[in-house]
Amino acid sequence: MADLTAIVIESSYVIRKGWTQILRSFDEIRNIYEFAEIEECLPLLPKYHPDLVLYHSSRIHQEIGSYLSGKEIGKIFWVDISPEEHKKENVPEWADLSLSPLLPRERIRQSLEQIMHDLGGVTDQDNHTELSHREITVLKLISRGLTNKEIADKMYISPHTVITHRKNITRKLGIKTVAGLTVYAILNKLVSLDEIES
Amino acid sequence: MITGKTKMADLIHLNHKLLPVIGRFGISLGFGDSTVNEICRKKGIETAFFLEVVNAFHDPDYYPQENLRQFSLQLIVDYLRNTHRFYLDKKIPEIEEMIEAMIRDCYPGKEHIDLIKVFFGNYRKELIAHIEREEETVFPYALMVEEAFLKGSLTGEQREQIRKRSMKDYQEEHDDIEEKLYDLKNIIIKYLPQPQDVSGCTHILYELFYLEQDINDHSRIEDKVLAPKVEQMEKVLLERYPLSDG
Ligand SMILES: [Fe+2]
Ligand SMILES: [Fe+2]
Repeated sequence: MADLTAIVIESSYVIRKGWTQILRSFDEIRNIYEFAEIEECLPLLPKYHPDLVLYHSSRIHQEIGSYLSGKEIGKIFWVDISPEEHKKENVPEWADLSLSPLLPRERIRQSLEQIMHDLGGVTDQDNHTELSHREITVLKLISRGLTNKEIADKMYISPHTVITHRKNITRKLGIKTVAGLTVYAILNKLVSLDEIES
Repeated sequence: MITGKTKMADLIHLNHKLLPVIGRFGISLGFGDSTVNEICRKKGIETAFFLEVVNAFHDPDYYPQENLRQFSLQLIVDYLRNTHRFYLDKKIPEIEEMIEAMIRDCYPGKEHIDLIKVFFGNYRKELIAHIEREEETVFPYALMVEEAFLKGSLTGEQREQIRKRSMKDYQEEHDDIEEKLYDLKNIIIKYLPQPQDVSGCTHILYELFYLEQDINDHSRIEDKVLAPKVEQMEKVLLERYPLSDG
């Protein structure tokens, strides 16, 4: 199991607690630290070694960059959490991903799940042979003949993430082709024959 | 590297997977201490060609020698065509029969096992399409290039053809035809319910392992012997005859 540290920087108390609550629901996360302002947080980054930082504010992102340059703090996955809705295409340059608190909770969870998977994947990936929930969802959609792009749209994830899932599915099952995966899905009753033919 | 002076028996000790390969050259066991040179001479096989084939099978990183004149492309193409026939006329029907038997004997009454039959049926179609593409477009193209190369002339039309679609382009479309066999193997090993009769399943697995490996090696001849030779000839032709004659 991964042992991740997350930091939430958000001035609104209510929203901050909301994020913390979502993060708590992931087993992969061991420590969560909360800050209202980035200034309080920056000096502590080298100490906390966070894997994941949730933060927003366009005002100060240059300062993050200049502060971080030259500091040994390891790789951090930055999530932009500014509360605007349709900004999926517009991730600020300091962030790896944007997630608005206005999005449906399930969607937020799905995106975070993917991040956890990517962050934790390096250490415990090879021992896992069982498919995760997300991978099963992807597998079902593959069997029904959907393309990577279609799957991405349906699951609110990027096509790149779909490809990552596919690679993991193939590695875990030892099956490379769509036809082979479909047979697997039917044998395991993940899809029915009618679903495939339609 | 395997050379003409290598003893045939040593070659098999080195890599027993070469057995079916030499079989396709009509060489059977009982070589005594004869070398590759001696056996090829006796059987009327072009030694250089034999060496290219076994080396390519034996060493995944083997790259063919520069000497273009050593043997003709026609020889390679004939060999590849023979192998295609071997797959389509012999191996595929054999496996199809085994699948029938497996469903009948190992999984009576399990309706979804028919999936395996459908899966393999689709694979067969893919393999046929793959082979047709090679025999109807790629091989004729390769032979056209060789003909021009040997004749020492290049017509405008041939130049156009090389320009429009060279061996590199054909290579890019050359797809992995073993992948589905790999999948089928794993489906049988890992995911089919426990069979009533295990031996029925093991037999078919041997066949699938064998065919997958053989097609893999076959593709290597196409990619590492045929294609590079054609590409070298294309290069020489375009350099030697930069302007069209016709
Ligand atoms: Fe072929
Ligand atoms: Fe081929």
